[in-house]
Amino acid sequence: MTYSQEQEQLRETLRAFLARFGDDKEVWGRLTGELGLTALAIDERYGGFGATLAEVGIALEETGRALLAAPYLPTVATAAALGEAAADELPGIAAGTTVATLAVAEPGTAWRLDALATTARESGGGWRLDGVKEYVLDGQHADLLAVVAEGGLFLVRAEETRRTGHSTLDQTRPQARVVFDGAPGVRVGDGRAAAHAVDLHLLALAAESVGVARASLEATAAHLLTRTQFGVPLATFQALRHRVADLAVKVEAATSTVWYALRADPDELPVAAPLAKVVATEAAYAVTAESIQLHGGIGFTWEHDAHRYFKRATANRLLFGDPVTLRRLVGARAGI
Amino acid sequence: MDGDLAAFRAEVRDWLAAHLTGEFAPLVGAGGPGREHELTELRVAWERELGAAGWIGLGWPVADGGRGADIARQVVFFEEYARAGGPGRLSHIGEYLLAPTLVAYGTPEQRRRFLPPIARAQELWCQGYSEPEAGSDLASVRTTAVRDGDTWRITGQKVWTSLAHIAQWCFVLARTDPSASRHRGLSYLLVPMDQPGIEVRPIVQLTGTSEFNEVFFDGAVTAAANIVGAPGDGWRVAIGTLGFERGVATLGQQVGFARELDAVIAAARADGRLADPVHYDRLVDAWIGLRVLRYHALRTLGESAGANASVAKLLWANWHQRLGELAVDEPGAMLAEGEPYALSDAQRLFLFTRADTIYGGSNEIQRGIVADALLGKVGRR
Repeated sequence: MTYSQEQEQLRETLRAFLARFGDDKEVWGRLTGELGLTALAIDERYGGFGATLAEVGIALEETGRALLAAPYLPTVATAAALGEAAADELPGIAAGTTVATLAVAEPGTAWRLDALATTARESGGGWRLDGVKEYVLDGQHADLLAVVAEGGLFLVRAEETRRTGHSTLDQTRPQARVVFDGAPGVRVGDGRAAAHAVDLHLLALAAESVGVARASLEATAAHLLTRTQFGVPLATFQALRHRVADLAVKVEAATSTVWYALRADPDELPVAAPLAKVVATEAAYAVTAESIQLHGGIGFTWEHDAHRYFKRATANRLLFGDPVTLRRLVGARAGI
Repeated sequence: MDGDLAAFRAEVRDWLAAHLTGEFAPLVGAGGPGREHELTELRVAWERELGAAGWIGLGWPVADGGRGADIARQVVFFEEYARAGGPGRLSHIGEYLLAPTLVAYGTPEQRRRFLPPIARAQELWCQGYSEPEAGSDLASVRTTAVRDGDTWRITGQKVWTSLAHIAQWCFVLARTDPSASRHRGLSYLLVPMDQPGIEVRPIVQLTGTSEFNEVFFDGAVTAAANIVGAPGDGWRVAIGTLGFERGVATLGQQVGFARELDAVIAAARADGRLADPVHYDRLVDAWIGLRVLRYHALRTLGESAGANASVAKLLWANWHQRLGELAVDEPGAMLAEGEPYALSDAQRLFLFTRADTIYGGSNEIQRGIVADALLGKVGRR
């Protein structure tokens, strides 16, 4: 059995909630306040519910399905990465008053951890950070930045940085460029902790992409069942049925891969997370691209949702490493 | 992993180490898809060795002569068996297709008569489904069975029958009521192979070897009692046979896949292709693909065959075929190993995997099942 009864309940509750409030301006306040969604996997000592990554994965699938435009993914992935190392911040994250995000990529070198130009130097008992971070998810709305720099993982308050919000291809998720100019920071982990934080973001993006892919597949199936041409529903044409079947195979494979990675032993994560990210984002990209084609002309219009799913899938595919880069990473970590 | 399971794993491992040796040592890595022609007699003896030790029917109910092992233990057995290089199985058609069919649809007498010889590998089985005019469209079988006193008399032709040349019995889907519409006139009969009315001819495949056969029935007989379900109920029983859970066997199959993948990667490393970024990307993708097969099997373990079983078949068949293509992506693959048509492991993998997307329900049939689950069965032809 894939999910427990409690997990299925969480999924149903969240799906109904997002169907009702997903486009609400106050959705973040409702999600964190009424549902306590950011508190899910935070330890009970810090105001959380003490659930596991498996439950966070379900929440991410559902927020992906709804194309939620709120900083859920970076906040919970960063919280999971920080854990006890940022105990003071966890109650704020659990309550939804602190938005957190992870700053890794840099201009020119993207997410390459072996080419970081951002530096951290010790200064008067603390640290000062200098550098430029790019593609920071929800960076302009974040209160707290976890920063991967030469020498480890650092926490920086957002107001200590200069932030420029970008206009993004995927309009459902903002990104920012963040400049650190001697910004004061706290060191919360070494290089391994930094790599682990990246892995958790890969896993979160993978889980979200499963939701994106499944929603897009279901919308496509619904269209084929209702759209009539040549006097019959499109769903009667075998050429289209087999294409949808191939997409369903990708979605099921991605679901299984993410399901496993969310339950993997911590020492398996360095392989399981980038692997899941490759499989799930490639599936989401394939499904959402085919969805536009299978919807025909209506799928090319601004008013239809097909392009919003396609654009989220495109961004998810590129964030924290494109599939070619990540396959190389998986290969290296697997000893190939 | 709980302690009992670890103990069970040790038991399997120790038994295999103690028995897959001596006279059976040549069997390591022999047989299986693409190599079914190898060392047949010795493999039959090996099946009896397995049966005598109680390894056949591991997951069957104890009342039926099995050990009632749970899924985790069955997985362990398959994994250890594959890891030890255990030879391709010959009793699996009886063990995994006929036995659950008899448990679900057979009479107590049939279970008593047929299950023990399967568990001891004294009777091997083959499956008489496909015919020259009934491939993917199984319901159009033309082989007929007519009641003649207290026997059924069977006439017709079956094809793609694995292991028919060594099996003692065949379960045959035959038409018993020519006047009934397609699915309704069929019956599921158990037919002894050693009789004058049956002739088995091997089919030479594009590999140059034979694992499949044609089986000709010319008035072959079986006792009237050897029918599973009622006359005319054969379609339901036959589909039931195809529907039993296969996730456990799949995980064992993947251990063999891993060995093949390791060999392909090692060959690419040895001749320098691994350093080519495009080739490297394809090989890592294959490595990832095998992980995906495993995760899908683990997630769907214990489910009876449905759309996810078709998903699994499409995933592994396509994956295996791509691996075969990777294996021969070098010029040496153009030359056979010797006369008359001896193939390397890579060439055999490459050629045999063309069948993976055809047998056991072709990719097209599997896509149809997956599409049915998503789109319903509206006008699907």
